[in-house]
Amino acid sequence: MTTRKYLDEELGELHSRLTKMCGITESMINDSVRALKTLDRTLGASVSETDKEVDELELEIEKKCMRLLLRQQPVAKDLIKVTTALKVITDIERIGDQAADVGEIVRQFPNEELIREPERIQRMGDLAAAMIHQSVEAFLNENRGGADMVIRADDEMDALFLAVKEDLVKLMAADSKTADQAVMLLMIAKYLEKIGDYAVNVSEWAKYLVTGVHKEYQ
Amino acid sequence: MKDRITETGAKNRLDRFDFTGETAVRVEGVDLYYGDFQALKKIDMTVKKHEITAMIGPSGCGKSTLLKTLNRMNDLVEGCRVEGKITVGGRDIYAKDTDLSALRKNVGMVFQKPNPFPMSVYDNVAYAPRTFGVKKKDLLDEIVERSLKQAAMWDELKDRLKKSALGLSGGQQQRLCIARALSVRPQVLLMDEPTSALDPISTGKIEELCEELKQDVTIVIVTHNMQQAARISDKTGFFLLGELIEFGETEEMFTSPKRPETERYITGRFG
Amino acid sequence: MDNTLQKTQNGKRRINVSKGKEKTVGALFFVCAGLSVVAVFGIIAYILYASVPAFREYGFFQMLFGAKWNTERGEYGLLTMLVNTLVVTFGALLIGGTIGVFTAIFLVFWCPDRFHLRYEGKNRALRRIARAVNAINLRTVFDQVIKLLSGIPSVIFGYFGVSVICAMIKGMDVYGIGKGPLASALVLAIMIVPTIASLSKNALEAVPQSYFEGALALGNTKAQAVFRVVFPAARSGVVSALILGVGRAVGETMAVAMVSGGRVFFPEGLFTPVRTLTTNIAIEFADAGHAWDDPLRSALFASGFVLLLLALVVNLSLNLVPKEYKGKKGTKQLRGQGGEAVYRKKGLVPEILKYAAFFMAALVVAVLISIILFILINGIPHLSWSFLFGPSDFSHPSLLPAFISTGYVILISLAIALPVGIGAAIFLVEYAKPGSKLVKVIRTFVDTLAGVPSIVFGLFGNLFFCKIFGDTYSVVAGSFTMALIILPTIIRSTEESLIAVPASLREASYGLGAGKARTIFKVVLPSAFPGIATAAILAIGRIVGESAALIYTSGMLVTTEGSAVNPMNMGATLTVFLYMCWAEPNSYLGFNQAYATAVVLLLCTLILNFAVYLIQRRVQKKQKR
Repeated sequence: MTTRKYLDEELGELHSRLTKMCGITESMINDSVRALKTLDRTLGASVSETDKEVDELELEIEKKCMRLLLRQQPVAKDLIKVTTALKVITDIERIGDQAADVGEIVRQFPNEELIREPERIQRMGDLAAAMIHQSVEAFLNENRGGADMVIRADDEMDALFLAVKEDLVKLMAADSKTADQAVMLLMIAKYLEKIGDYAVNVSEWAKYLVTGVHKEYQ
Repeated sequence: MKDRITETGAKNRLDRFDFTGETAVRVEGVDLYYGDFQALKKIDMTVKKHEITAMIGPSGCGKSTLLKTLNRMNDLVEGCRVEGKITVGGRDIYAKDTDLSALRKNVGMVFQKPNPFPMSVYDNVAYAPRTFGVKKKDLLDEIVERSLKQAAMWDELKDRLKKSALGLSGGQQQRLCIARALSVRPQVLLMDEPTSALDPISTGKIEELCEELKQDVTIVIVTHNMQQAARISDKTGFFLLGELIEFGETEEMFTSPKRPETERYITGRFG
Repeated sequence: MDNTLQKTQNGKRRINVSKGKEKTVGALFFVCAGLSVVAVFGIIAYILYASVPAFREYGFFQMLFGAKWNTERGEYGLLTMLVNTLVVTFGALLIGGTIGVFTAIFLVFWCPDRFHLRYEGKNRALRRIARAVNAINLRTVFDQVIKLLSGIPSVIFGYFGVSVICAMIKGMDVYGIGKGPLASALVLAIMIVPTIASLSKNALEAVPQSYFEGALALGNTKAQAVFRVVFPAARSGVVSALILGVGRAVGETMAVAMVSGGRVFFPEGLFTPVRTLTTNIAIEFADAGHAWDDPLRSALFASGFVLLLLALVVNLSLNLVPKEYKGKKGTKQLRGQGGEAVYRKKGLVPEILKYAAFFMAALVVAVLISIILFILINGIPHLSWSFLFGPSDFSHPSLLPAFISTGYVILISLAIALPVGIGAAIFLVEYAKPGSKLVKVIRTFVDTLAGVPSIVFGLFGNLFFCKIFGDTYSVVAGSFTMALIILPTIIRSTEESLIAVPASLREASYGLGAGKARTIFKVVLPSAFPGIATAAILAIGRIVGESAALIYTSGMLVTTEGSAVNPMNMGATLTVFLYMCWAEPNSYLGFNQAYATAVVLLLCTLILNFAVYLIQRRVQKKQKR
């Protein structure tokens, strides 16, 4: 008889729920970036709809973790697994929120010619999607290599955001009619940059899961 | 309800416990006295079938006392008096015509300290069936194998059935006692701090065993260890000074207890 | 300041001094302990030495396996006696073992705590009586009944056998006498019941209560739990009890001498007059010559030697009993009724056994009561001041010289055995390494000494102590012999009470800088005092009840009180006097005097038992506090 069969079972269940939540969030990012690129307003609207699913999953996983803590009283690696899961789902849920916000803005986008800047924002979108993919991968499979990559990618993300911001400010200064669109684009850029930050958070938790040491604790 | 235990083949007309309903054990307004001392005060509690019900509380709170009323082991204590009604399998077990043998056959018990008899492993498990008249060797073999498998120790013990049970480790002895209790297919299994004398690994094994046994029997467990109650039970009752302070879903009790006494006790702040 | 310094210096010096002393004291204790070993070897060697002439004359194997015993023709085969001993012992074991074991079972499991008399009437006296009766602790009473039975001198059982048992069974005897193997086995059975019952009781009480509860929880009735789980778990202790009972039966002399018939026949029926190894000695010794190579005398020593070997075998077989389930800590009280009334009929055999236990226990009480009544009814009418304390001479014997002699034997033997026994116990508990080989060897020898039949002690005393003290019977020689007999009891019970002294007391004393000897004498021994006092009283009981060992050492003679005052003279103790009334009756000394003496002895036994009870109760109360 292997002892702690039930703990292992419950941890497995937790992992699969996490995988599902991450998967949905990832696809939300992908969808919102795609919607942005093509200005597909219905797709944008559907992204913000999907966010509800993520919220529900967060609640479910949170309960599961509480139950695990109470019932199985995990320690050592098991304890770290459960506590990081609790932390990560908050970040993932935020990511979902941001993706939904991006989708929402896309939905509201005025039906007119795009002003400039889509390439860099699109690049940011691709980068965010990639970072999320990497960090979630790192977290779910417990490898720190992917995590390190995400942390490096964030620098590029920050640089891109600064460039986009400067660009848009210049645009607005030159032509006040663009202000409406420029603000929307700036918000999208900010959301994407924020997603990058959350991705970094997730990968830091992934590193913690592997090494048992969190950057902030040192 | 079967009138015969198919396994023993013995006619058992006294075995009129009916466990088809939802409720396995119902305790209604029970007061218990040791001489002049009142050890239990107006206890009401319902134990559902195929659930694990844990009873927790500080020493001397009456949890073990209540457990022992459920198979009337309290009869052994001189000057012990029970008032109120306890029904097991639909029968009032304190009624005058109660057959204690049949009651205890249906309500098995596992004690705090492992108490295998000084006999072989096989004879320990075959003891109760023999008491109830099983003589055929192959039938006994079957019962022993089934019980040991149920207690998840057949593989450990199948090659040493003839060895003395006293030679087993503490944890094995306790699981053997569980197997022994299971040999007569009880409907309810009472456990009186079954792991308090055991190491953590053995404790873990027995807890897991409880989870498995849930499918076949209803378990009532007394434990000193709140964490254990949280780990394995579906319902928890908290006892204090002979009163049942709170009784309900384990998760609920351990996350948001309704009574301040419960909160203080389970958070370890109880003086 | 100055003062303190001096004190420490003094203290230091004292410690230095005591180190030398310590060694001497330790050596002294070792000598005490070694004495039992020496005694066992001494007894074996002396008895063997004294039997050599007979072995040489008649041949060892011819003696052992020859069936013919005829002193006039010079035939000294012991086989008949050996067979008789075995047959009678087996019979006694069968009857007494059953009764003893079942009585123990009753006592442990079914004996109610107290009466439950209910009297609601108005009569105040009756109500008070009911309350008083209800206050009696029945278990204690039953315990005391068994102890009393074991304290009654064996000669009294002999009288009971001759007058009551033989009378009851003589109807079955074609010759209408009733003596023989059956009567012997019955008397011996009564005598070994207390030993077997109290030792079995200890064994049963040592079984963990959890076995009992476990069986009940599996749906057993109380009887099933007792007979199918608890009793089997106690079997090694019960077997030991039975073996010790056998030891007692093999070595018993006087009672058997009175009811066996005394003729050298094989036991062809229940009523053939027979003679056992012990009774052979008792019957023939008076006729034997005093010379070392007197063939009859030597043959009797050979008889004693065979008896000794038999007793040693019985004793050593104790060590073969598997100790598998021994030494488990158990709860002392297995009470409670288990809801008897509501059990349906099942487990018929255990139920029958249960009622057997009830019956046997009642039988034991009945036998004791009838013995006591028998003695009192026959004896009290013949008690008189002049018989008890009047002047004594050959034609008008009184008990006064016997009182004096008994007192001497008690004083002298205790004066010897107490220091030696306590010393030996101290060595075993405090000095020797616990569990070492030396301890085991000494304990084995102490137990062996305890298992030597008292008549063998008598033979040894006759050879050794009588020789030392002027080549004649004397009270002093008898006292030395008795000292040997009571030594094992004293060692064992002192040992037990020393072990019971908590280690923390010793540690506290050492922690204050006291030495070993000081710790033992000032701390350990005082705490063990009640145990030692109990041992001493039990020893007195043994002395008062002893006859076989004294007849051949302190002599069997009616004396005057003047002669009894000098312990170097011969003198019969009370029990020997009692035996004389049967063995050498005349117009002044007969059954009437015997019963009167028995009343006195019974009274002594009662007083001694009561004293032990008081001490033990006090100790228990202290422990509770």
